[in-house]
Amino acid sequence: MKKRSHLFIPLLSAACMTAFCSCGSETVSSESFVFDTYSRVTVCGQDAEDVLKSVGNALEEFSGAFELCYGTEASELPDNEAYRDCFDKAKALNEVYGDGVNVACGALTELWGISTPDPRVPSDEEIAEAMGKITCERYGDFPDGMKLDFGAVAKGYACDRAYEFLESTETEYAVVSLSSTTLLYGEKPDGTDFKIGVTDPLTGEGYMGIIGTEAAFASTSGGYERYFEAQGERYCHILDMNTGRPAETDLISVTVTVPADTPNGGIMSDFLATLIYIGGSEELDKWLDCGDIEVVAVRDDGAVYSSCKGFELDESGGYHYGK
Amino acid sequence: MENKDGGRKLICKRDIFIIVLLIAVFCAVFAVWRKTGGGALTAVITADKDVIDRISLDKDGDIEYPELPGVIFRVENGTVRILQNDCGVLTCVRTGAISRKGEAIICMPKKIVVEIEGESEGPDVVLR
Repeated sequence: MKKRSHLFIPLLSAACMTAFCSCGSETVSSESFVFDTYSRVTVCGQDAEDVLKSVGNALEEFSGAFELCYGTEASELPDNEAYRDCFDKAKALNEVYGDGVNVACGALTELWGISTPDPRVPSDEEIAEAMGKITCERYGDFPDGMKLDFGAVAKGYACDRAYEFLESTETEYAVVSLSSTTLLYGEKPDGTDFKIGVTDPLTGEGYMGIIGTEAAFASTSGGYERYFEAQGERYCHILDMNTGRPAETDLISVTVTVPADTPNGGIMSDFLATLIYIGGSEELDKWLDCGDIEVVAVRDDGAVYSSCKGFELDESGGYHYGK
Repeated sequence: MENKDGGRKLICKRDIFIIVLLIAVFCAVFAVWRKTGGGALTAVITADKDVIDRISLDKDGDIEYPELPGVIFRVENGTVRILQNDCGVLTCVRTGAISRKGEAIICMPKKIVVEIEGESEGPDVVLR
């Protein structure tokens, strides 16, 4: 009796402690360098490891294919179903929202070279010449010198494809983060909303606010991180298709969220974030009244405009609501 | 209530000693686990996914690594930044200082990632 109690109680306590330690979820995640950025995919659910691997491989494939477009004439690109699909989806958005974002603008992107180590300000003649090579009505009918540039929509498109794939699995929730575009899939185990930190565009440090949302696609556009300076001027990486020059806008950050069950919601959020950013605060009103499409826009004077129900502004960062 | 007959006691002094010892060991292990996994914030520096270093953000100073020539990291007031980089693109330098869990600095040309890890509350994803 005495001997047994000696062993029994300590063993029981040890067992309890071990049980306490080992409880945890089966969430897996991985990182990679794709789409000229750092990406992270997190998956929770059945066969999470396999799902994670498939999503990671697909992202790498899309990223590689889209990267190939840079510097290659459209007519010389290898056959790839993703090019045609992404092109058609972007064109469909053009029909609804206008031509502010153009996937045939490769010649112009290359001329400026803003995300490369050697950007430069081209002459007006060079810009005019490149502007003549950014029209393409139908995939396959590629004019001479035309190059594809899926930069403004590739991440959103990839998130759409990830969503389609996740729908065919038993995934409970997943986060596909491609830096400026993200897919928040399913429902978190604790039933709470997803929380998206929106980077502070004035300092580039920390977040200016948090968006709480159910499953959604979300994209941010801003000129605060990728730009170059020449002769005292700052040129951001987002080109305005009307002028052929980096966008001159009074907005410094635009975030768009679209519910995850919206067909092609990923490419839509990516496309619209860029379009609204280029349009500036003058055109903002119509975007702030777009139903399921929710927008958080920041003007260069720190004024914040939001139609996003779950958005909480961190006013300690010097931002205030506009209007 | 003292029972002189030790054989009938459910818990004797040695049991208590063992339990206390176990709890102490457990707490110590837990404390170490918290320290390395969370608690104070830590910046993890990786290059092409290889971990170069984990640095605690409570010690100020400039840090360089022979594996990463041309890059200087600065730890200051609980934040970390890439102070200098000869990568040519400089997005990483413009990102500035980071200090909250989930934030990251990324240098694409050199595939360097500086990420904050720790137990503090953070969003599920950061858009930048």
